[in-house]
Amino acid sequence: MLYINKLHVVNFKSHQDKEIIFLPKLNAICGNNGCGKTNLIDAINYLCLTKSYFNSIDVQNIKENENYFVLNGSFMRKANEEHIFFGYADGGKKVLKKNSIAYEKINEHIGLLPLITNAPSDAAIVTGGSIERRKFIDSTLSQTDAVYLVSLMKYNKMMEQRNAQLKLFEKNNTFDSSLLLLYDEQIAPLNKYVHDKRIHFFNAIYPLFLMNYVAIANKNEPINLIYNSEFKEVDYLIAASRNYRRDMALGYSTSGIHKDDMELLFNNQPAKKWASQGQQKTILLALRIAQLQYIEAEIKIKPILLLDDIFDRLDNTRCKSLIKLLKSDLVGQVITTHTSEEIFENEHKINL
Amino acid sequence: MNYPSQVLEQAVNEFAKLPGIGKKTALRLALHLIKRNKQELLLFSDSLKKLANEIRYCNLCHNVSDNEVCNICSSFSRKKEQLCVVEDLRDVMAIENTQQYFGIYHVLGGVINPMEGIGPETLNLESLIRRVEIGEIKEIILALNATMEGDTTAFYISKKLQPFNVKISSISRGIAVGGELEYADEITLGRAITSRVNYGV
Ligand SMILES: [Zn+2]
Repeated sequence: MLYINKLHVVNFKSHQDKEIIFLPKLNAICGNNGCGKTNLIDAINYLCLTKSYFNSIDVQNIKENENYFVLNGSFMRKANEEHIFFGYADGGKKVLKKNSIAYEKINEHIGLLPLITNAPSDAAIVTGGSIERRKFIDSTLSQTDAVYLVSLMKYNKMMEQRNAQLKLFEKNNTFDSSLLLLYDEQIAPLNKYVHDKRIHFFNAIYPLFLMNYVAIANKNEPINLIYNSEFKEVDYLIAASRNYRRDMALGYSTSGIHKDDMELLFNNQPAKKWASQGQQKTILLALRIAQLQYIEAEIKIKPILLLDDIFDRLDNTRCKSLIKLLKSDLVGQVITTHTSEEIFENEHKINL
Repeated sequence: MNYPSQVLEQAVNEFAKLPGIGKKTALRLALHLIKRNKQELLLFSDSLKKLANEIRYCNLCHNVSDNEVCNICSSFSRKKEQLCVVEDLRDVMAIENTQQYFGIYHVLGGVINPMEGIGPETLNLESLIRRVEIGEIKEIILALNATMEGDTTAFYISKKLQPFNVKISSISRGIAVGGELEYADEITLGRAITSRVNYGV
């Protein structure tokens, strides 16, 4: 069991000094636009993942006319209470403490308090390009598998060098396949690791996604999810060597897991074009909950789920079944934000 | 920033081209120099002129040298069948400081790094292959920094040297991954160079 029971923020974004108590299950932060609901979501994101979900420049998250912000959170994790402190002063370094002891390396904190945040901009997972869906997969696997993150970073850097080499060939009007092979032999095992892990992730979330979708939509709809990758059939080294000529002509690498896509389909057509806004939102939420279920299965702890402004554009029936799902044992603690209180009846409401 | 003198501004601009020196530090250095007596300043500029005119590189290993062939390459007490490949002369100095290595060197002058525009043809790689071709060298020790570019370069060299009858090893990586040889302490580096690991392609 993982949940936050108390949050205290000082000089953070729009809040000067605010303390909030949360319940272990569903919490609804209610209030008008501009009252700082999303900022509280972001404070929790900071405490769990050491950074903002919305603005990576820490100094811009300090309240106007102040020069520091401080966040304190009390979390219950497997029956232990963990006090997390995050402080940032203008011109200084981030300070992160667990139970009053400062971390030497802030990144060591990541993984202790798994978290999934969904913001309005995440609609791009459904409506955006393939890069958004790869980011969705990568951010999940990075929370459950440290080797994945390292492999992916190495892969990206190797690819950057490979692309730079292609441009260098073009500039010098030369070509040397042994130089590309030099990178490809190093890329191949990284490509395989990332690909295999993504397939593992995809196979795990596929049935969960379909079930979650039906649970929210209250009916079957012709949605589908497929993972497209050339590496289902062919090894990276072979695929890459086939494309030398094309890579040279285009000046970048056309083979590799950076071209994979997880496609979301509605009636066998791209959901971004053919599904309604309500259906798209349902797809996104079904994915989010599947993501949560995957992380739980991998690390044996249910992540906290932060849902910023999700009830917008969902009809009443879907809202009701979503709330039912969020209250079920499938998910752990959920914190949502709303402008209207109406959809909630007996839930823990936090009025700002 | 506005300078009261163009001469000063020019000096500041030159200092600011040095690695790790910003405009502020450059100004501090320039002001410091003009405060010293003229004789000292001229001595300083002479050594810079000499650096530009007289610096030479060893014809064999490309280490900085005052002669055609450096002291290490021309020394009778060094083992000529053992050759250590390094990125630059700072690495030679670091390994020499350990006093644990008695072979000779080959200075690449960098590592393969296309993002910086550095391909293998810009490094001292052909001369390395020519040195190995002669046949006197029996063992190659790759002492490149444990960065991705260092690893790629080591991989490249080991492939190029495969046709020859030389043993290729890499210094054992007691040195932190991503770390540079220059920053490794002498004991760690000394241990690393004496306990090498065979390099597998
Ligand atoms: Zn020499």
